[in-house]
This record gives sequence, C-alpha cells and structure tokens, in this order.
Amino acid sequence: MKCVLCGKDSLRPVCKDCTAKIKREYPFLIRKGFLSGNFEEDLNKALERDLLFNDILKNLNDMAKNALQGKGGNYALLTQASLHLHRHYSFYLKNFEIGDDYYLSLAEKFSSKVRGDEGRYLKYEIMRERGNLKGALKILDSISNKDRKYLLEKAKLLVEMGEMDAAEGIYQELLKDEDPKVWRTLADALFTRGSYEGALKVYAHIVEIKKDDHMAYYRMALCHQYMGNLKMAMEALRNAISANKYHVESYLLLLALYERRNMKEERKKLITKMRRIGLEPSFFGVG
Amino acid sequence: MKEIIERMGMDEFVHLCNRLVMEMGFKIRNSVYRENIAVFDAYMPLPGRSLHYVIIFIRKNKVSKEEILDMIDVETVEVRWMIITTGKFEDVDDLKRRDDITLMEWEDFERLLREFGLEEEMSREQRGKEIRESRILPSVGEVESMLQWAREFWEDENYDKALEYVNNAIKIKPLPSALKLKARILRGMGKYEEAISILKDVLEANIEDDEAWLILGEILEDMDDYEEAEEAYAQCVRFNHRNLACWINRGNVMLLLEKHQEALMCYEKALSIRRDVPSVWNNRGVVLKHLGKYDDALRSYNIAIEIDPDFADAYLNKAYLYFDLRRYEEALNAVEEYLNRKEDVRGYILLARIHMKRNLKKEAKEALEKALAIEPGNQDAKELLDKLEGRGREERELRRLRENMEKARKILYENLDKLRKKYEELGVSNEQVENMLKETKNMLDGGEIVDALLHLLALMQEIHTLEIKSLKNMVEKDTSMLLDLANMKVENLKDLSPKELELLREDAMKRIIISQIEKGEQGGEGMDMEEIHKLEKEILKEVSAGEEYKGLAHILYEEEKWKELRRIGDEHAYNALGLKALANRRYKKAVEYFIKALNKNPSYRAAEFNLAYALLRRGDERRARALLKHLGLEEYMEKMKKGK
Repeated sequence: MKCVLCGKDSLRPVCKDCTAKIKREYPFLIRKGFLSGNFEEDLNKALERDLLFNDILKNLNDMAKNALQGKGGNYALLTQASLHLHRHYSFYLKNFEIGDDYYLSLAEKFSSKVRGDEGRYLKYEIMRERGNLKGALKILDSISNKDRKYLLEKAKLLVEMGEMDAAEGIYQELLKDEDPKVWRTLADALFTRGSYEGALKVYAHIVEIKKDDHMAYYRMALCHQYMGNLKMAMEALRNAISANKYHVESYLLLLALYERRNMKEERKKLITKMRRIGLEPSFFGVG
Repeated sequence: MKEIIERMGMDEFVHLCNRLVMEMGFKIRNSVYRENIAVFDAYMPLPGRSLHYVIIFIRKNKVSKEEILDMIDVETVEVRWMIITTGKFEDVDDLKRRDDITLMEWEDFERLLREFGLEEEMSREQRGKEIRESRILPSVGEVESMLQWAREFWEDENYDKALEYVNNAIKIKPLPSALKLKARILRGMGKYEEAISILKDVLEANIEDDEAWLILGEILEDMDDYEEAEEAYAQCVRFNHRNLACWINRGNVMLLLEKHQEALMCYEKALSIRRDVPSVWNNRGVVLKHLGKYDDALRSYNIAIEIDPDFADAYLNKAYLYFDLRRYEEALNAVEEYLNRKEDVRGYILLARIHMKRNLKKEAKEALEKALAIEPGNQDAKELLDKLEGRGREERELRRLRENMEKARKILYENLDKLRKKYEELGVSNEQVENMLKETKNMLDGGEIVDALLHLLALMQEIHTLEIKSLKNMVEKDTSMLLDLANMKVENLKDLSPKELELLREDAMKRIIISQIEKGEQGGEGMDMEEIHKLEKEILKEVSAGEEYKGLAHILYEEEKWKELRRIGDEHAYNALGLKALANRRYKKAVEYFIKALNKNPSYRAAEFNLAYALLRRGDERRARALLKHLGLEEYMEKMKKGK
C-alpha cells in the first residue's frame, strides 16, 4: 500500500520514514486532540479523565521530546501518559510502521528514571500490561512500603492470576472496614474473570453499603444478562437509572432488553424519559 | 402597528412579547432571545393542573416549515408550542393539523395586541418609553412564579425539579421563604444535613422564624432524634404560640417519647387553636388511653368521627380500645366501620382477634386470609393462622423447607434439560457426559437434591470443556489450512492458546496477500492483474474503513487531507469531520457529524463531549448539559460557556 502522507510504498498507512519523522517531533504520535475546545486542565487530571485537549497533548509531546533528548522532565507523569495511551489509544499505532507495544516501550524508558517505590509501581503496571503476571508479582513484592495500596494491587493481581485462595486472604484483611472501593475492586476483578455469580454477590453487597452506586447496579445487570436472567437484569438497570438518571449505558441496555422481550410500552416510556432529561436517544442510535 | 414593531429594538420587542404572554394569562418560567426570535418557557395554570407551553415570537416576513422544525422538538410530549410571527407561515399545513402546535400569523398577532390593550401603549410615545425602560432584571413576580413551580414540584415529590427551580429563585433573591422551601425539598430528598445547614442560616438571620424551627423539628424527627426535635418544636411555639402544626408535631413526638401527660397538653393547645382537626382528637384519644382514661379516650375518638365520619383511624383506635376493655361486640362494630373505609392488614388482624375471642374460628380464618392476601408475608397474621389451625413453629418451618426443596428440584430439572440440549447441539458423543446426565436425572427423581446439584455442576464443567475442545479443533483446522497456503510451518499447533492461534492466523493471512501481490507484480505465477487489483482494493478498503486501521481518519485530519478523510466512514472520521465543522463555526453540521460518530460507537466519549460542545454552541444547553452529566464532566458546562 501507499503511505497516506508521502505516497511511498508502505506496509501500513504511514510509512517508516514518515513515522520516524512524526515520532521525532511528537513522541506520542498523536498531534491533535480528539476533543473540541482547548480547555485548561491539570496534566494528571487530564490523563485520569482522558481529556487530551490540543494543549495537553502538546505539553506531553514536548515534555517527552525533551526527556528523550536527555533534558530531563517529569518521568513519572510521562510513564503514566505512555501507559494511558497504551490502554486507550494503542489502536492508533496500527497506522504506523512501528511496534504495537511502542507506548509500553516508551513507558519502560521513562519509568527507568523514576526511583524508589513509585518507580517500582510504574514498572509493575507496565509488566501487568505486558501480560507477565508473575514478573509483575515479583516487582510488586519488592516494594518496601507494604501499605493498603500494595495489598489492594496484590489482591487484584492474584485474582487475575487465578490464585483465588491467596487473594481471598488479603481481601479478608482489606474488607474489615467495609470500604466500598475495595469491594468494587474485588467485584470488578471477578467480573473481568467472568465469575459472574461471585461478582453479582459482591455488587449486591456494594449497593447495600452505597445505595446510589449506579455502576454497581449496571454491572449487576450485566452479570444477570450474562447468566441469562433478563428480568433481574432489567430490575438492576432500573435501579441504576434511578441512582443516576444520566447513565446512558443503562438506558441503552434496558432499551435493548425491552426490545428483546418485545416490551413496547416500557420501551416507549423509557425513551420519553430520556428525552425529558435531555438525553436524545437518537444520538446513541436508538429511538 | 406592524411598522412600529419592525422599528423596535430587540429588547423592546421582547418586552412587548413578554407583556402579551403575561396578559394572555401565562406564567413565565424562563425566556431567551436571539436575532429576531424570542422564546418563552411558560405555563398556563388551570385548576388542579397546569399546561406547559413554549411560546416563540418570530419577527420575520416569511417563516418556513424547516425554520419551525429547527426550533421545536416535535417528539417532546407534554409540551404545547405556540408560534407567533409578524409575517406569514409557508407550507405548514401538516403542522396546523397537530393538536400540540398553534400557529399565529400577523393578523392573529395584531388581534391579540389589540384585545389585550397593548396597541394603544405602543402608539403612545410615553408608553413606548416605558416599554423601552422597563425592567431587565427579573421581578419579584417572577421569583414568586419560580417558587410556585418549586412548591408544585415539591408537592408532587419531584424533588430534582423542585430543587432546580428553588435554586434559580434563590439566585435572583435569597428570600427566607425560598430558603425554607429548599430545606423542605432537601428533607424530601433525605439530604438532612444540607437542609439543617440552610435552616441554621435562616435562623441566624431571624431567630424568631417559627416556620424554620418547625421544619427543623420535622427533619430531626425524620432523623429519629426525637429529643432534639422536641427542642426545636419548643422554640417554634415559643415564637409563635398559635402554630397549630407545631403543637400537633410536638404532641406526636411526646407520644413517641412516652411523655403522655406532655403530649396531652400539646394536643389540648392544638385544639384551643382549632377544634375541627380530627387527627388531633384521634391522637388525643390515644394519649388518654395510655393514661388509663378510657371514657375520655372514647369521647375523643367519637368527636374525631363526628367531625369527619370518614376518618378511618379513629374507628380502628376505638376498636382497639373496646377490644382491650373486652367489649368485643362494640369492638367488632368499630372495626367493621374501619374496614368499610380502609381495608388493611391491621383491621383484618384485629377482626380475626375479635372473632377468636368469640370462638368464631371460621370467620377469624377468613379475616386472616384477607390480611395475608393484602400482605402475604405478614408475620402476625401467619402466626395467628397457625395458632388457629393448631400448628407449631417447627411444623411451619418444615412446610417452608419442603416448598423450597420442591422449587429447587424444579429449577434443577430445567437446568438439566438445558444442558442436555446443549450437549446434543454439540453433535459429539461422550459416554461420561451421557452417564452423568442419566445419573443426575435419577438423583432428582429420587429427591437427592444436594447430590443432584453437585452432579449438575460437574456436568456443566464437562460440557463446557467439550465446547471449548470442539471450538479449538475448528480453529486449529482452519489455522492449519491457512498456514499451508502461507507456506508456514508450525509444529506445536495443538499447544497454542486461542489468542496465539489468532495472531498466527493474522500473520498467515498477511503473508498470503503480500506473496500474491508480489507474484502478480513480478508477472510470475499467481493471480492475474485483475485479481491483484481486486485484492489491492480489498486491502485499501480495509485501510479506509476497516477495524485494523482504526484512527486513520484522525491522522488524515491532522494532515488536513479532507478528501481522503471523507471516504472513511468510521467513528473517528465522523468525529474528525465534526471537529473541522466546529472550527469553521458550522455548528449544525458539526452536530450531525458527532451524532454519526456516536451512532457508530455509542461509547465514544470524545464524540459525546464534542457533541455537547456543538449543541451548546447551537444554544441547546439542556441537551449539552445532559451529555456532560453522563460523562461526569458537568463542570465543563461553565468552561464551555466561557469559551463561547
């Protein structure tokens, strides 16, 4: 195929030379944001909320460029940015003649400059992203400050590795003070593993502690749906909507379930409800 | 008159429309205007309800159907639209037929101005001056109108909406009445601390505000803090000795605190203010009963019934009193009166007790069955029924367990059937599974529920393993064929994971395509040129819209290659085109593109954020806000507005 930028033969839409050229100026390869407006936002917060406005991207690219030229910079932030891009934008890399793990390689480069436990945490995250769970566990265990964050990460990792007994021991310790966040981590880990029954029980407990946790209701609905219990799924979705009336995902799933069950009247009412609060269903391809 | 209107500044025109809307009897909730259009969000109060109207004035000679449809949302229910122009409408016959849309042209507009006496005002210079100089800030009337709406929403228990209106009113002027209403709304929402904090501010400004003390007492009562609630009510009546609601509430709190003498005093005070409130007489009766003054209590209940013969609770209390006094005939009469007015569990249980005392078992059973029909799980009714039928607690438990076991057996049968079907669909034969299916059924038939359950779980695992195995075989076979075509050799195909097989297949596919193209280019053996071009087209198709090159559109956007960009039809392409339209201030187009992007992928947060931005730029604040709320980025509403 031809490179869309220079027209030369290429294996991917952007050829090797063009990729190298872009990479020199913009190490993160993305030059313009996917978002409109150019609002001021703290870099850490922007990464956390995926708000990569033009200026934010420019700052990150400039910072990365300087860091790669040995001029220093906030390496921890750059590692986080690389990890963020790997998690959310690695599809973008397929357009370039570059390795699919380019963002992770960048993260490794930056994290090697971060010292102490902070650096170890970052390396642990990279290792996890690479799918090397045993290696990740080794790094995690080398962390000297074995605080709550460490325990939580370890428990999560153990669930991911399928070491349920070991994970359970840590969770029992962590769950003594009924922290919904810890319950959430456990539930999400079970959900990701596909242990829907277990996840369902934990989500049900979360909504007992925190009645307005719409995400827990939503995940409950997904569990019910995967387990084939559509009635309960619909109930959970209605709860999710009453906990957060702007939770579009719940509306969309509930509409789909109503349609599947041929519940025309309920579907119509739900659509009207969405419209009434300003969520136009046609924006999301329904209605 | 038309000339005068055409010469008016937009401010004057809006004021004229505002006055006309008010003269027509509407209450205005909100108004906006731009260019030559003024929009009023209003309602027409009617006895017992109100109609929601959006009234749009357009100062233009010709108004097309498209312009109207651009301004109104025809699918919104419960809203009526009134569109008034200084000119004429074109091609709007179908709109005229709709019940929810009223269209008025200049003749109608002129008639309205004349009918409501605004014509004369406009023609007089002095009046015109008044219109020009009339208020810009919202008036007290408007604040009151907002509060009225808030009150109505509060009464309907639509607290979110009530809060929105009361907050708007407070923004204009933080009147104590508005703050107290807000506290009541927050109470309804269960946000007690927030409500208390508002009431504290109100009381700091005026310690003698008895209504604020009353609301505070009610909130503390909701929080089960009866001692503090009593204190608040004491303050309330200290500043307003004739606050009836407060005396009643205070009496109720005293009753809960079992301070019967004090409760009686409160009800007496309430009765000294108003003697025709049946609930006070009724509660007074309850207190007197606690104090052992049965005759007085009975008199009190009778007065409540005299004032309101349909006041059911007084009959029930009267029945309880007779029952306690073992006057069962009179108790029966009273409870029947109660049940005639209100059929509930308490009434039927009391009726059953009376029948039981009179040894009328059949009637008692009937009453209990009615109670259980209303509330199937009512423990008192169940226990009474068991007592009546001579059953003990253990027998009850056993019956419950049996029922549950039967239910479990039914569910296990259903699941076994499902598993059998699944196994048959797999089209493989496995002796072990077949044996397990038989054994599980035998166990269920024999009532060995626990063993059957364990077998069923093992069976599920077995069938799942069979499924995976069969799928893996298929994938291996398929991959092996592709590897042959790509001239690739892999020895340990069976040891690879599904993910690894997938990667191998992708690699093989690419090699096949590339080798075929190379052969074609070298003119060697392989496909003919036509086939090669076809294949190239396929690959390019993949480049332009395929999953593999997701985000290519964004690169084209960065490079400003619009022609190529338009050929791609994925969510990133529509998002990129939307961004371009936004930059060119073509907001309508931008909205269309972002909607297309979202339609392609409803979880595409960037497109949703951009859509909110574009909608805001088009003046559709409501929808923009809703999208930002969904994204958890509501604070960007202000940032976007500032950006505007």
